[in-house]
Amino acid sequence: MATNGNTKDMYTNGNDIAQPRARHAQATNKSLARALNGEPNTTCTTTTTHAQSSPPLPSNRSTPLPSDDAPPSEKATSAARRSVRRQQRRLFPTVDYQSRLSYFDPKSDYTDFRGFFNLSWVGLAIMGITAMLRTLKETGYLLNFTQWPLFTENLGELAASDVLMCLSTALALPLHLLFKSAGARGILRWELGGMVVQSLFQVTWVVCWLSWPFVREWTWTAQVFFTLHSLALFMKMHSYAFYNGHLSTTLTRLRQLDRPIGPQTPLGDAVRYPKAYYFDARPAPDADEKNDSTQSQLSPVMQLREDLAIEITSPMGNVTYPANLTVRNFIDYLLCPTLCYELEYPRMPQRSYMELFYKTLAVFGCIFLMTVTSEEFILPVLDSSHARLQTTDNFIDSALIFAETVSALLFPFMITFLLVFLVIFEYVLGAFAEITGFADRKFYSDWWNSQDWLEFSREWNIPVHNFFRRHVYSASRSVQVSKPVAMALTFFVSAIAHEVVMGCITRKFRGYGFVMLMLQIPFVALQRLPWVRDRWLLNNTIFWCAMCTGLSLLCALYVLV
Amino acid sequence: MSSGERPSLLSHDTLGAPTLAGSLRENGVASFSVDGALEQNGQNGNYAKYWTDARDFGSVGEQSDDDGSALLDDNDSIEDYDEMELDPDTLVANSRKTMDPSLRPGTDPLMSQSVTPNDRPSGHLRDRKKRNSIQIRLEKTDRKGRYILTADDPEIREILRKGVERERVEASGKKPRLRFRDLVFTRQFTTFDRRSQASSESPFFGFFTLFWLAMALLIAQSCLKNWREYGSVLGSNQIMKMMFSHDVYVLGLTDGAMTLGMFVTYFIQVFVKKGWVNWGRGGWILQNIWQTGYLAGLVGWAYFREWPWTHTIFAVLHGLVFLMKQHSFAFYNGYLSGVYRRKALLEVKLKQLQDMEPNHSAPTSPRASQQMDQFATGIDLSELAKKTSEHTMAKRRPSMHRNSTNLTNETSDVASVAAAIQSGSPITPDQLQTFERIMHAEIDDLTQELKGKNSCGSNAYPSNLRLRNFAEYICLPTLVYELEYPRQERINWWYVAEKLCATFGVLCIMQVISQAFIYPAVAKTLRMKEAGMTIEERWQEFPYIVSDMLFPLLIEQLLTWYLIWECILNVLAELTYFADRGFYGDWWNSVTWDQYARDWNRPVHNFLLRHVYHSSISSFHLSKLAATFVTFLLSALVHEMCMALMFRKVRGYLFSMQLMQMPLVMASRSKYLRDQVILGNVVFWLGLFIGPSFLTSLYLVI
Repeated sequence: MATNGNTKDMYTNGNDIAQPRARHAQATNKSLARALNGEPNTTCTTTTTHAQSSPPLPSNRSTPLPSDDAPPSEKATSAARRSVRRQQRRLFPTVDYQSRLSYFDPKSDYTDFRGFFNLSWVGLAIMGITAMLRTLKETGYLLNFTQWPLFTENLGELAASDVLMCLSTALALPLHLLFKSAGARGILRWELGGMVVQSLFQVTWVVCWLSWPFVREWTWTAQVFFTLHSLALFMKMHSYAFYNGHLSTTLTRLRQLDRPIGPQTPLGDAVRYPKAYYFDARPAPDADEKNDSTQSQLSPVMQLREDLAIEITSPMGNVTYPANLTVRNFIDYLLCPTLCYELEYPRMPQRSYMELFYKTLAVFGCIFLMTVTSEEFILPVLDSSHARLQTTDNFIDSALIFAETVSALLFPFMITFLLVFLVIFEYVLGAFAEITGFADRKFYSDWWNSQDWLEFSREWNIPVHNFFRRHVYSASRSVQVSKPVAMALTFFVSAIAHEVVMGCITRKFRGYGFVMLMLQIPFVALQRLPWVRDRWLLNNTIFWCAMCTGLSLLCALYVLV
Repeated sequence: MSSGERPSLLSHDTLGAPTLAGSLRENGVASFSVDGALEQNGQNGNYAKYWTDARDFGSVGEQSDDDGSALLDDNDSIEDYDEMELDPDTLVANSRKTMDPSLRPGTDPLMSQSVTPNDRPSGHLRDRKKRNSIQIRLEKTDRKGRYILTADDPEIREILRKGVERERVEASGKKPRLRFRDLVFTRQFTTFDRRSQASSESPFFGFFTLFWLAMALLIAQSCLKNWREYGSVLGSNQIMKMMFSHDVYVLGLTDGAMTLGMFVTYFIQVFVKKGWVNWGRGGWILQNIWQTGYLAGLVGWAYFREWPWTHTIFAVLHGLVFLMKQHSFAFYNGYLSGVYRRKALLEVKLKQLQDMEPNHSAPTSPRASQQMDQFATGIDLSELAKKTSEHTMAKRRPSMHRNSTNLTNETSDVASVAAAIQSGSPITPDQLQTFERIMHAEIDDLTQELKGKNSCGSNAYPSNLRLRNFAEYICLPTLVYELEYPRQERINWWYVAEKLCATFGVLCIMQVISQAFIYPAVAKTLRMKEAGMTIEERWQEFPYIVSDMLFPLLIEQLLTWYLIWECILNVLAELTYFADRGFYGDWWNSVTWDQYARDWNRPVHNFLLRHVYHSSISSFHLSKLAATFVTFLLSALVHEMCMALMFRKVRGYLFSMQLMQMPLVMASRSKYLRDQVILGNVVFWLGLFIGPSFLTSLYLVI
């Protein structure tokens, strides 16, 4: 048996079964991996130094930086920008916006399996065509959408309400100007009355707009669109108001330092929100101050002034705080596919109208496919099960019928779910990014490789995840809430929001979704057991099983029970 | 590891071109300059021609014409894919991306070379920008045609170092050349293998999990349905019943007999070695007769036993595999037998030469002296030419006569020497020395040829004809015979178990899908025929039958492919320590049909490339286009034969559709469609999606 020993070294893993996938780039580094998975980590400093020594974070790695193959000029700028950012220590938790592409973007680097992505589209198209053929054979019409009225019924009203709702968010701007003009002593200054007034306004706003579809008795499609949109706008508004409020406080303090420093001048450290530990790789402020000798040489007042000045300047350094309070900036922010307000975002050099066209086309294509799926595979099943459930009063029979429904809905719901994901996170957000030239296309991470629900919830919806991390988790951490409690609170808020959406769709407030979401917590604890946690394939399979069955089960529960 | 010991890679690696002269400093900075000869020509066309020539053995005669640009076009349109793939030195980082237009066949072949010196360094770097592999800098120096190439990556430094080393070896003139089409076998894993880099680094692995989960759920659903309707999880189970209805044992016995039949080829080769049969005269005819008989006997037997189509298709496919194996074994060894005989002949001549007494006086006859001078100058010139001109080198390559034993018809140096020896005219000591050198060089060359891929020579030609070697070759998952393959050190039994489980799992899924989704549609067509519907009535049902079978047949197709090329071949390879798992490329990213044809079934593709495409060029002197057509035609005929055996009717639908792919390929290579990567891939998938169902319905309905 002649063997080629000389090439052995090259393939040292020749005979060993490797793990299916190295989950993250630095997965070998245990503490960092744990930190990346969002687990508490006591050795915070080691984490940060590791992360610093290897700049490409998983988030950078998973969505390719265009700078990888960009001309050197671009790379140099990006590196400089990043180093500036690393030096800057911000008081308000920031979101790291960079020029990035999403996974399914045609320009993305991940083309190894692109053929299968195309296959899925071809398959879906063929599914649509065969469905039409069958309808043609049975009814004589090419398309026979019983759902058609659902879409058209309240279309005008929906559009009008939507425009009104968008306009009403703009109230945040004059409100903020009011808070800002209150100055350092006014009753309406942000940290005193402003926050209260803004919160009251937001609660009223969201209650009004969420109940509006119920008042008008819209169809569920219109209502679901409207509810989701109002929640998104709510988050946008919240982020805008609270970030700008914080900046107005900072500005006031900076101005105070201009005057002769007296005993009344607040010299306390600027409010430092603790960093979200799994995302933020910058060194913790304390550690940094100890290391940085030049900084400690500055006088405390100078130091404070510098901190405050950096705070009101945008990360890219082109905008400072009060200059951003314009209508134009607000409208731009409303259109940007993000929920976290920043003074400035990375932008594309130019807009590609072809891309915009393709994305719009894809949106309508996806909606069409979803309609076909529900028309062909979901509604008939639900109708027949409903009818059969009406006639039985035996519990076992009902349970059997219910189980059959769940099993029949597995595949259609999986397809619908994937389509919904694609249409929102790749195409709608992508189209808006194209319109505004927003360069950070990382709207989702590789959630399909998730091991558990927590990872999925972090990865599949990055804008909302960023919002929660910044405005719920970090905000609650800033008022001395412990990490697990803050995390549970975040989860709780998200579960409530999901339940609201489900309730709006089905008009039944049963709390099934809420219960199932909360059930994920003990489940995740189980998956974190030492024996289970390293089995990537097993965990991923469990995740997908939960995903497939969960969706179909929820639908059956809400509709039939 | 040292680069010297690995199987010779010839010159298609990045720095192998001897026209590149360079030096490497310690810090990883290499400076290269374009060789004088090339600089004079100043054309990329000639350069590309050189590197095509250097490894295209079968087509020497055709390529020796001087039209460099025409050759570039020719090369461009047909085959330069496998040159850029299997070489481990070119596979740096993730450079293999077929969706990337710059790496697709049909684009400029120079693009695949990462550090080709080019007259336009800026343009070259722009091309490279797409590849996202290694950082190199190409700086222009003050001298024309000289560039300094700097690499920061340790990997490419290593490669550069190796390239420079190899180049030195080549410069010293000891470059081994193999006559037979040189396929490179390397250690590699299949893409879906858990051990492969591509799979472990892919960010989309979760979808792979989802696919198998969906399959599991599909099985569960259909079992439940069967249980409710038939009271058994298997349902009515016609397919299983049909598969195991009769002759299962006969099938096994037939398979055993087929395996035994392969040894006929082995014995023919033993006879050839012993000199009882001359391969070049009658041996190959005998072999072809045997092969035809083998296939005809198999098909006849299947008809005679009235096997169900599953039996027939299994036996015929397995028989075809054995047939290709035999063909490769016979023709490679037959060729080597010629080389062996020539070597023996030359050794005799050398002996004669050494026995001759050199004559110190001037030759008597002026004519003979002229002849001698001619020999001498011709040889000296040839030495000179080898150093300077690549064109002359291509013309003077001795490879045309590697297996010829009739020296009188030749025009090579060796033939001249042989003629001189034969004439018995006196020679000077200088000439004697030159002649001896020529003979030795040729004999060394032939010895190298007999060693083939077996660098140590323990399995060189006559000693490879052992029963054990042949039996081993039968089991190896390859269709191309080589004297040595890259092998593994040990068997991972867990891996074997995993793949075996996968094999049976996939078989189960396929069985369930065909029973639940395909059988009803097929049964419907049979009922239609039994009910005596006219062809028009059946034709009206046709679209619905097609649409019913679309999805199940696609899944069946994907699963069949996965079963054979991922599971079974990997099990076989693991059990036989076979290390080259390049059973398929990333065909799912194919943009044209020919790309698919090459990538989805690499073993057969390699066989066709070596034994049909290149053999038809070298022995029938076909043009490349004609050879491509012949290859395509043969493949289409074999496919149609399988269809005929399955449906028991010869309709030629598949045949015509396969031949229709040729114009499609041409169209996709046209100026407008060439860069439409996504469109090309979508068209490819549409064809793969609709094709099987459409064809099956055609064969069933009409």
